[in-house]
Amino acid sequence: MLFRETFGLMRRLAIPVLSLSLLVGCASQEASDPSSAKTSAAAPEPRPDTSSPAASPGKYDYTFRLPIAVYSYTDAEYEVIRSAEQVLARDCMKGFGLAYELPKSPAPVDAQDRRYGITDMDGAQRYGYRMPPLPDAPKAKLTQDQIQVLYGKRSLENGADDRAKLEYRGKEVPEHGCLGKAVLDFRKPYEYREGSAAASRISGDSYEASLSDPKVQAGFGKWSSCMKQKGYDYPSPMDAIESPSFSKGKVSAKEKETAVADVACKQSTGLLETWFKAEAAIQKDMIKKDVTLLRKLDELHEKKLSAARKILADA
Amino acid sequence: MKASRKALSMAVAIPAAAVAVLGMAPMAHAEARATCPDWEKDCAVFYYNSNKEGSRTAFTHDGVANLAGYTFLSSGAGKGLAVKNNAASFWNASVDSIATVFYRSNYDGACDTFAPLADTDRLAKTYNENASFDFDRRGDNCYKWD
Repeated sequence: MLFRETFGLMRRLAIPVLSLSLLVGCASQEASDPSSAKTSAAAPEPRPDTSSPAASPGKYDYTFRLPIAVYSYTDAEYEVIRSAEQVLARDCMKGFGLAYELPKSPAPVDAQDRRYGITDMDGAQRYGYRMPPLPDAPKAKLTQDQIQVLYGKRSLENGADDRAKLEYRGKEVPEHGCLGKAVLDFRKPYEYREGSAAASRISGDSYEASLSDPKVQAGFGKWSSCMKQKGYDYPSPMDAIESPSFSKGKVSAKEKETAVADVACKQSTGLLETWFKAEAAIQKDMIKKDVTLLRKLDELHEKKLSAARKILADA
Repeated sequence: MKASRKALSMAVAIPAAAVAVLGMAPMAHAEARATCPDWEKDCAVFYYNSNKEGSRTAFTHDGVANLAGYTFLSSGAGKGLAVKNNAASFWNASVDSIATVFYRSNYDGACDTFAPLADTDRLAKTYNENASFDFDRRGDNCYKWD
């Protein structure tokens, strides 16, 4: 568990992206920690809340504190898998006599959690209801040959319909290229659609059920009264964030003011914690019903991560 | 499939109608087509029916904060109907980008992030509740099941 908890904390601290060398370093740490193996028959415990309970709702993480979150990959774990796939793609490229330099990890970004709408006062002041801009992911400079083999049919010219191009020096290029092949081949042994579907359904159902929970409804009422005092008329936070003018065109001063009032009212009414606690309770009951599927899903995730770390360690 | 699909749709009726923006033209920079073009590395496909069946719409270039105004484009069941809150399955046809589907407009509410080339036979969480999506939204705090 150490690895997951450490990464969980890192992700919460919005440092989701790690260099390949650090990933490998963590991999060896994982291997030497016997407690990290998730072979227990018990369902994994929810990640402990490592943030201060007094933390302001600003960039506070709700989604990954909910009970179902232990069955999801974290951003950092996705980065481990992505890095391993890049190594597999590089090996595939080698088979075509082509070099492929592993791309740099993308720059860290501030994590956003919009499950309960906007929660970040700084973001509200700067971006209103918009997602903050993302820094561009580093783009590798590739030759035409590299692009053709790395991306397969995705490298075809606009309008081209010539599958003969999917050969490179007489050797057939995988349909989705070396990268696509790496992704698909690496996923296959660990894919568990039934488990993924169950986890996804629980998360959706619990979110939906939370909306009609009496305590959440009362929280919406308090939030709405608070907003009204500030001159805004919205029955719930969803009505505010979904205002059409808050997702198109340029951000107006009014949008920023509304967003700031939204976050301030969430803070003063305690809505976010109320909502989180209600949904967490709902999820616990739902998880019990599907615990067998979820445990298997979690085991497969762990196996895939172990395999990914091994690929990185051997790279 | 259609009967059970609609029954489920009604069972999960959420005040999504509150956000319906009738007649609004899509404003995002995303492009919508019937099929993922070969020359696009990033492409996200919504299907009207489960199991990636029925009419579909493929989005490229950018995410969409509000899917209102987009319709299912390819031939098949559901062609011409709204994509928003009406898709039953999804495929992230991107080779090197994650794609995230959100329950509500403006990237709000429950959400699922799909790995490159991952798909789902049933948008369980966002089943008929797909209101917005985005590519490469790193740090979005959405669950990743695959």
